[in-house]
Amino acid sequence: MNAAIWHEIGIGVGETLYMSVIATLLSYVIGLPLGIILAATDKHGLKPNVIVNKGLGVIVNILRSIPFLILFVTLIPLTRVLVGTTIGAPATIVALVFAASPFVARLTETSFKEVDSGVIEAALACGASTPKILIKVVIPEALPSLISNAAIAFVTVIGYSAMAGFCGGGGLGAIAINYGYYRGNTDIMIITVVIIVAIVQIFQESGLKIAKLRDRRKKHKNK
Amino acid sequence: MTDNIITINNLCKSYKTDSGEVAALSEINLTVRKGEILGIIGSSGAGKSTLVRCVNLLERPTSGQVLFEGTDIASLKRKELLKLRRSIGMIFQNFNLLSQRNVLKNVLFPLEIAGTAKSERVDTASRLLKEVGLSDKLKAYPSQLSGGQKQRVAIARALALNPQVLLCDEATSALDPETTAQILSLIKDFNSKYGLTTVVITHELGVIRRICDRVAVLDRGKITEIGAVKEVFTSPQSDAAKRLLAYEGGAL
Ligand SMILES: Nc1ncnc2c1ncn2[C@@H]1O[C@H](COP(=O)(O)OP(=O)(O)OP(=O)(O)O)[C@@H](O)[C@H]1O
Ligand SMILES: [Mg+2]
Repeated sequence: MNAAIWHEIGIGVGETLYMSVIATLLSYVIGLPLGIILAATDKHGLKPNVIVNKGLGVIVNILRSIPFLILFVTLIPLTRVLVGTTIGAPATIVALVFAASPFVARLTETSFKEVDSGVIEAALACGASTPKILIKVVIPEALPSLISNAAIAFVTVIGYSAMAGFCGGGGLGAIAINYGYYRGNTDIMIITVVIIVAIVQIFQESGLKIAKLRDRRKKHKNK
Repeated sequence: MTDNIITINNLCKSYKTDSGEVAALSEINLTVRKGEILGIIGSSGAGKSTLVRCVNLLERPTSGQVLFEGTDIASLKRKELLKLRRSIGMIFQNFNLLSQRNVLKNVLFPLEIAGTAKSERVDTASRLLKEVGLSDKLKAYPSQLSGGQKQRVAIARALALNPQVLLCDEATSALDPETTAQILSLIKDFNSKYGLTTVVITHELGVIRRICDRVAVLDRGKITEIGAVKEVFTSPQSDAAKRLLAYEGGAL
């Protein structure tokens, strides 16, 4: 284990985090509005609409059921058009966004549906319009759940990004495959796995902590 | 002109379910007079919630009319309907407070929705919270309050936009007898102080007896009887009313 390898691993950590953060953010840009639409068009939602709900639901389900590596490979032509390359971090980000957006849509949909329908009814009775209910009631009331689900989404994206190492994606996954697997270097394999596990733990736990701190539903001591 | 604030004509409401149509309300005729406290009593499933929800169009009637100050509310445009709802306050059995907002901000909510000037909002909300006896809880979250305190916040919120009518759907059903009495006298106070027209939905005779001027008996989606509380309670005419009174007698 020489310094050069450690340097590689350092770059790998950076790349994994960079890919996962960008991909998660983009997945929320796409998935969050979809989650809102899914929850709102549900038959108990604010704007029930069977056609939109079922149509979108089917698309989301199809995308979610494609295994990540197959999705990655299938997307190669599109990836080339979008980012001009089919390997490394940019290419991985494209596939990650495709894989994570429908997942985020379902996660956020679940968070929104957890909001107490009585609270929404009270807001309606106050004369609130649908957009106002969304911004002032549904999102704030769902926030603790949205935060803890965001941690799950991020951690899932990290997992996918590691898999992408198998087909030319960058980051820690690529290091584990190239140095660890192909060159039979068990140490590097173990180190990368440990680092990935550590990253996952840190983000999962802090996500839950933040969500808990933000949640006003439990009794908490005042000052 | 009339001193009826709400007039309900031939109101029917049915729900489509997997096992066919369920009639929740049939041929309801009812008036709410300005300044009165009208009770609507009925057993579980009688259609009480459905009926009050038709008054602010949280529920669309299948047929029939609801007139608010002479205007057919079904004819209102979306914007006008939102305005109408602001002049009808509503409180609920489960309080339905915003769990992530503190007491003050819960009462600020309707004022934000209505676009009240920022400078006025806090004044109005604080004044109302003082009136309901919660001046010392402005920064508390709903999870830190008792049921009675939560309902006081809900009342302050319902009155924030100075409504003409207050609808109470089983507002005391989740509370113990002592707290129930306190909340009822609070409602009664607002009624006598400001002439606030109030509709009280309940399955408890005690609630009606304590604060209502008139009572309507709702049974399986139909109003079987309506009149002054004393009259209905001393000489009930309908079977439903007799039954309600008999059960109370038996229970005591
Ligand atoms: N969304 C709905 N879909 C189908 N049926 C409904 C729906 N809402 C109410 N009902 C039915 O309408 C009838 C009246 O319900 P409602 O909630 O108005 O009764 P209630 O008098 O308020 O009862 P409770 O005292 O239990 O609150 C019930 O038989 C109920 O099952
Ligand atoms: Mg009810």
